[in-house]
Amino acid sequence: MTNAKFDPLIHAQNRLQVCAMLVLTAEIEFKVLREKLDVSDSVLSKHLKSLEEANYVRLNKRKNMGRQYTWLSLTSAGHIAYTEHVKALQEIVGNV
Amino acid sequence: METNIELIMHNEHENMTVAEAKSKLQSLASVEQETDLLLRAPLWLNFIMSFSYGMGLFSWASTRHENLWMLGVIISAVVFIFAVVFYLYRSRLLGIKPKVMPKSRSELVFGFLLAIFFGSVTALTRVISVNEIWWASYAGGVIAALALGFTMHYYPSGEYKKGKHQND
Repeated sequence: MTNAKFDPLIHAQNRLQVCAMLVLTAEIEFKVLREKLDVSDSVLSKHLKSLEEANYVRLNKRKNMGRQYTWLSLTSAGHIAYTEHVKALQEIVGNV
Repeated sequence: METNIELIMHNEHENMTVAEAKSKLQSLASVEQETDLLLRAPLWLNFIMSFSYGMGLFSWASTRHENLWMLGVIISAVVFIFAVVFYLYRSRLLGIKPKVMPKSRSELVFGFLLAIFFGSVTALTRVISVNEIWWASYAGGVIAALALGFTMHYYPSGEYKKGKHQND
């Protein structure tokens, strides 16, 4: 049994990768995330909705030159959950 | 229903093998490296930022009474600020905004250590240079420029990692 908190919500591959990218940045645009993860709009939206409902990710829709862009950032709760999850994985591997 | 989901989640954790966890951590390390590449300033921009910072420090350390090195400080500061603003604007256009303020404790510690380092180099360069050790301004400028260039190239996210593959 590990001391760090294993979070099943962010354990899914795509959600984990979303968190890994967001934890290193202030904000990422939806399109960049979709291209990096190589998934469709609907798949990414579904994952982001789960993360948003858990208050792990914040979505900001902003207009720029008439076009709407969605910027994503990790909340404090998301940051803690991701860090704890990585720690749990490291404990399983035996890196800690 | 809720209890069943919790039980499944718990079992998922319990049943996870070392190989699976290792594979997850490797994929995370790969994502982190890709994100670092996205955040990294191009070499020419890194050079302009580092050079203008080093030049600014050299100019400030060389300033005496009414000589013209203060002009060097002003020009370097303007170039440095423009380069940083351009980097932030470029990142925004690319759809990825770098962190300006630290988000975690490790980032805060890393930022604090960097601030102490650059503060010490700046203060020592000026103090030693004022004491008529002529090479201090050159050495301080070069050290500051190299350190800034290195930091921006290898730690663009502002987070210190032990080795390149911390999660491996």
